[in-house]
Amino acid sequence: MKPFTIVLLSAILFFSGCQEEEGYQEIDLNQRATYEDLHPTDGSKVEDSPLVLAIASIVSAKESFSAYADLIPYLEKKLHRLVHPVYTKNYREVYDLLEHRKVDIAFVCCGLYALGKRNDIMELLAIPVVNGDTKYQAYIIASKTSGIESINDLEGKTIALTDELSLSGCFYLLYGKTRNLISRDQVVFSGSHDASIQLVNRGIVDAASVDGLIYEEIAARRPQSVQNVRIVEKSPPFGIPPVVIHPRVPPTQRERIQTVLLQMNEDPEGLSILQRMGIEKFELPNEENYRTVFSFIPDSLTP
Amino acid sequence: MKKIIELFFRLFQILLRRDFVPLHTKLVAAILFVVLLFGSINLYITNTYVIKTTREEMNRKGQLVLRILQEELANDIIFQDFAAVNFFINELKNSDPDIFYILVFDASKKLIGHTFETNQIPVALTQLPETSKMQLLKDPQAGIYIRQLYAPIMEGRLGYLLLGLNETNIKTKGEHLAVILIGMVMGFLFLGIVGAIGFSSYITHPIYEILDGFRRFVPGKHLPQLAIRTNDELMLLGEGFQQMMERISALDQQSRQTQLKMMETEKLASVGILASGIAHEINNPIAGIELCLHRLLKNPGGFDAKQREYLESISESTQHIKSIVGNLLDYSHHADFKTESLNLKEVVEFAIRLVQFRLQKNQIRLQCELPNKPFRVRGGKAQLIQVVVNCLLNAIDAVERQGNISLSLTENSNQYVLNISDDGCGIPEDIVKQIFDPFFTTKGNRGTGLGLYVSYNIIKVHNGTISVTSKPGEGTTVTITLPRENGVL
Repeated sequence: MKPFTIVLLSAILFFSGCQEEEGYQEIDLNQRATYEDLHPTDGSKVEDSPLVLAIASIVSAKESFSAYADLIPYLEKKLHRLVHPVYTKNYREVYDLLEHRKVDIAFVCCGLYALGKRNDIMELLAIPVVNGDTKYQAYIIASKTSGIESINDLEGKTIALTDELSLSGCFYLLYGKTRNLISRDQVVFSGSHDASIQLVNRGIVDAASVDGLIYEEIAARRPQSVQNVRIVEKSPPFGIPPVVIHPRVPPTQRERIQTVLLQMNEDPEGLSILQRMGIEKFELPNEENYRTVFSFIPDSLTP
Repeated sequence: MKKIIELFFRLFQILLRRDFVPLHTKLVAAILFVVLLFGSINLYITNTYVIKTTREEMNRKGQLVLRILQEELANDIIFQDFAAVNFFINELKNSDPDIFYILVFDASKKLIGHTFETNQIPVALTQLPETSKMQLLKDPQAGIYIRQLYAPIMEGRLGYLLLGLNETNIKTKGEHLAVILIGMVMGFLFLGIVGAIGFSSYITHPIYEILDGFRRFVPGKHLPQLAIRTNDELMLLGEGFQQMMERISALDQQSRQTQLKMMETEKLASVGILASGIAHEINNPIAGIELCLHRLLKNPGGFDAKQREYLESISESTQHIKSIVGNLLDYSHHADFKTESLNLKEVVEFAIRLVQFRLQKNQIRLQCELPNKPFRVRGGKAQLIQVVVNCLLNAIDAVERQGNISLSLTENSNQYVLNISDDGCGIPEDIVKQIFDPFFTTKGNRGTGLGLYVSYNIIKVHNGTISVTSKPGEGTTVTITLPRENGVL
C-alpha cells in the first residue's frame, strides 16, 4: 500500500471519527405558553349538555376502560349526543355523583343500586344478560394454603373486600351468614374484584368475597390466576349489576337511551361491543330480581 | 476536510516525485501517518462505541421510563385525575436528571400534563409529533440537545406520552472527549515531529560526518580521523569507514611501490638485454684476441719465460672471459619457454657456474652432493636455471661472507628433490609466509622482490613444488621438487 493511501485512509477515519450524529431538528425552547394559552376556555367550544355516563370499577380501572371504551362513541353515534364517560375509583364516588346529579346514567353494583333506590337517586334502566342469566352469585374464595375449608374457618383470617358499597364484594360477607365471624379489623379493601382474586391467589390475604361472574371469567381466561384459589361458598343468586339512570332524566331521553341499549345486540357493531363487555344483551329491568338484595342490606346502612 | 485531504495528496505527490527525500522528512511523514491513524481509530472507537453505547443506554432508559409511565398513568387518566398525573410525572422527572421533560396528552391529543416549571410550556413541544419514531431536537441558542421518545397509552385510547431526555450532557461529554483526543493527537503530532527531527538529526549527523570525512580523504596524503561516538551501529559504520580508508591508503602505498618495482624490473630487463648485446659484441674481439694469443704461443721462442707466463695468464683470462660471455649468451638464448628433456644435474651445475664468481668473491664454501647419474626432467632450461640461480643468489645474500651453502640433489619414487641450504641469518617466522608474494623483499633496494615469486610460478608450471624452511640465526633451506620426465608436464 502506498504511503499516500495510508494517509488518505487515516484522514478519512480521523474526520469520520469527528462527525456527530446528524438529524437534529431545530426548535426554540424560549417560546413559551401557559396551559391556559394553549387551551383557552372562552366558552366558544362548550358543548351542550352531554350525557354523562359513570362506570364504577367492578374490575380494575384498565379492564373497565378496555371493556367500556368502545361503548362511548357507539352511544354518541346512536344518541346523536356527546357522551362523557366518568370512571370512578369506588362506588361511593358513583353514588355521590348521582346524588348530586352530576351523572345521568351509571353502571353500578346491585348493592349500590339497592342503596340508590332506597334514597331515590337511581332507577333501573336496563339489565345485562350474562351467560343467559340476569342473576349472579357472590363467591367466598380462600387461598388453598390458608386452611379455610368453610366459612366457619374465616374467623381471625385476613379477608379482602372489594368496596364498602359492593354487594358481592362486601355486604354479603359483612351482613350475611358470616357477619358474626368477621370483624372490621381483619378486612382490607382491594378496590376491585380481580385485585381481590389476585391477593388470594398469591396468598397475600387468606380469603375474599368476589363477584362470581368476574371470577368465572378470569378462571376461564387465565386459569393460572386462580390456581391457588378455592371457592369456599357461593351465595344465593342476586340480581345482576344493572344500568341505572337518575330519576330526573326526562322520560324521552330515558326511553331513547334504553332503546339504544336494548337494541345493541341487534346490530353487528353493538353486538361486537357487547361481546367485548362480556354481555349478551340488555334486557328491560325486573325489580323482582333485586328483592333479595334489598332484604340483605340493613336499614341502618347509609352510604 | 476536503482541503486537508487535498493538502495530504499534494504533500505526498511532492515527496514521491523528488529523487532525494531527507530522512527527517520521511520520519515526519511516518510519524504523521502513525499518529493520524491511531488518533482516528481512537476517535472512531470513542464515537462509535462510547457515545453510541451511552445513547443506546439512554434510549433503553427512556423506554423503561415510558413503560412505567404507561402503566402508572393509565388509571389516573381513566379517572381523569390530572393532578395525580402531574404529580407523578414531576416526581419522576425530579428523580432523574437525564429527564428534560415529560408531556402527557389525552386521546384527543390535548395536553393534560407537563413537567415545566411555572406553567411555562415551550410552544414547540405542545403539539404531538406526526411520527412515533424517536426524534432528535436541539435548541442552538440555548445549547440544549434533546432525545424525544414517544409512546401511546393503551394504544392511544387513553392518550400519549412524550419523554424528552437531555442529551446535552452526552453531547458535551462527547465533545469534550473528542477535544481531548484531538488535543492529544495534536500533542503527539507535535512531539512526534520534534522527536522525528531530533532523531533524524541524531542519525544523519554522524552519517554526514562520515560523508564529510570521506570527501576530505585523499589516499596517501590525507587520512581524516572519524570520531563517531554514538555507541551504536553508526559508530560501527564509522569504524568500518575508517578501516576502509586506512586499507585504501595502504593499498595505494603498495600500488606506488609496485609501480616503482615494475619500473626497476623493466630497467633490469633492459640491462639484461644490453648485457646480452654487449656479450655478443665482446665475443668477436675475444675470438680475435684468442686467435692472436694462439699464434703468439705457437712460436714461444720469441718470448722469454716471463713473457710466456704473462701470455699464458692472458690466455687463461681470455678463456675465462669467453666462458662467462658464452654462459651469458647461452642463458639469454633460452629466455623463451620451450620444454625439452633436461638433465637436472647439468642445470644445477650450469647455475653454479653462473654464480661461481659471487661465491668466490664472498668466500663462501659450496658443498655439492650431486650423484653421478642423470636426473631427467622435462621443462624449460633457462627457467629452471633461473630458479636455481635465484635460490643460490638468495643463499649468498643470506650468508654474506665466509659461510657455507650446501646443495643436494636426491630422488624418491616419482620425483627429484633439490635442497639448497645456507647457514645465513635465516628468515623470521612471520615473514616466511610472504616470501613468495610479488615484490616482497628483505633486501631493500638491492632486491626486486620478484625472484622467489617468479621461481614459484616456474616450478608450479613444471608441476613441482617449492618450499622454504628457516630458523632465524641458523639458516634457511629451500626445497624444490620436480617430477621425473615420465610424469606429465
